[in-house]
Amino acid sequence: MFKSIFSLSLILLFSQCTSIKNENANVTMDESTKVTDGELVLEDGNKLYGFWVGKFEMDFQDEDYPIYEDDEFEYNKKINISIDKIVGERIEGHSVVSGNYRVFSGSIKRDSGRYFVEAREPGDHANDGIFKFQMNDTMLWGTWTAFDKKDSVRRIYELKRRIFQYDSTVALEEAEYVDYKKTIQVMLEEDSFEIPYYATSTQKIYEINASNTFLNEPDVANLKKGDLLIIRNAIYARHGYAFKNKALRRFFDAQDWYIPVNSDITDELSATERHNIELLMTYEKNAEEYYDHFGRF
Amino acid sequence: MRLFNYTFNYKQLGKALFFLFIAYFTYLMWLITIQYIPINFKVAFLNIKQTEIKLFHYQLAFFSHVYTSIFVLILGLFQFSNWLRNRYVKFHRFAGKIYIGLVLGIAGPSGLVMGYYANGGWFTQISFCLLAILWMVFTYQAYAFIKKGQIQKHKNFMLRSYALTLSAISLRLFKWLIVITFELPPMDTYYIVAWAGWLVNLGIAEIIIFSHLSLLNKTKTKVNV
Repeated sequence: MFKSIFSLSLILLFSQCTSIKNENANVTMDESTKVTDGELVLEDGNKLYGFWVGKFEMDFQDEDYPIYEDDEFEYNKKINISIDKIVGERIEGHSVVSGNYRVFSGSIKRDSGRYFVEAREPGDHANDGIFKFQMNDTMLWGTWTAFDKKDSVRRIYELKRRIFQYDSTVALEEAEYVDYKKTIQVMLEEDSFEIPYYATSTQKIYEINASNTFLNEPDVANLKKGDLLIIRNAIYARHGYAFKNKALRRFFDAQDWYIPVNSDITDELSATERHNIELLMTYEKNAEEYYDHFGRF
Repeated sequence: MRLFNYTFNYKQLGKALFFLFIAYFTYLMWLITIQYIPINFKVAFLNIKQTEIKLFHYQLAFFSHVYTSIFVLILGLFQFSNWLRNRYVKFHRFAGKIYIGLVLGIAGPSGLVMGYYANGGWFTQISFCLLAILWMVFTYQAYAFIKKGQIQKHKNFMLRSYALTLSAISLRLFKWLIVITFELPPMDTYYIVAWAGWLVNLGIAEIIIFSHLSLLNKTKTKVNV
């Protein structure tokens, strides 16, 4: 009896041995119960990749923060932190802020549902520093500290994941734009809290889209210097150009849709945009040279 | 007599100041003119005339207008000097013939062609075309009257002709004033100065002619009394 059961089970055993591995093996584990010992689960990487965009704010908790930088009130710049590559515990990415495209690399660790990143910029640029942030699927938050101690600049940020896609139809929003530099100067001089309004451009900047409209001379002939400048640069902004010019950066950072992505977008311009840029440049140059001078327009 | 003497000096002073004023802006016009030397299609005003400057007849009109009008402006300035006119009659006649020849032969017709292609549509086109036509008409009238020996009428039409010549200056001056005060957009400014640039001048010329006329009548009645 015992023998027969034994032999039967052996037969059964061998009859199952048609392959060396169960191709359908599936072990499930609840997300919150995973034990990874800081080892990154790669499939989650997908959710971390991409652009994380938001304000790059002065840290007012930091006692050393300078109110004035270059004698000028610092506005909250827009930062775009891009997570480009995660291999094991190593993370690579870049940030775009103030028109600077800077790569960083460092470590990423996982703990209790969050990722902890510490990454450094190369250090060969005056404004390089170290990023320390945490992130989950929806949010990225942390600090950045300059390497240069005498600067002792610390920034904080709370970024949201954003998908960048060029859209030629995006129009400017009427964001409140105040020239802080001039405002501060006036306030100091006149000792009043009245905020002057600087109208350097007209309503036209919200009406004319130079990315999806082929502009002709009559379309631009009545535009002022400021209008021409904004309409032309809005083309670059739609392509995610990271403005080097401080005033333009300030203007477009205030636009919700704007994400600084690239420091060179020359190859991405459409034929219409190229035409419009050339036309707008001609009128801009003319306005610059002749608008408020005796020589004709 | 003393009163007469005083008004005389005042008038002379006014004339001298006006001469300096025009001379200064003529100098600025000279600076504008030399921007176009050598011939270049990618400079100043031509930058915003890229469609038109491709046409040969526009090129011809533009450059002949620019190169001759400056001399019309300069020559006209000396023709109103009583001293020069009385002392050097031959110079006055010679300069006058060049002035009339340049306006009727080159600057006027080329101005008409440019007026036809003016920026800003029919509103400015009409203004500049009318300006060119009146300029030629007044200049020709002045010539015709002096040939008939009618000096006062010659004077009046020369005043009108030169008033329109000076629109080159007043148009730019008004434009500058509008821009620094009201900061109007360029085309809106252009609509205004296209008309004001010469209508104001012509108005001033008519006032001068009218006041001369009434002054003349007054002295006549005085003599009669």
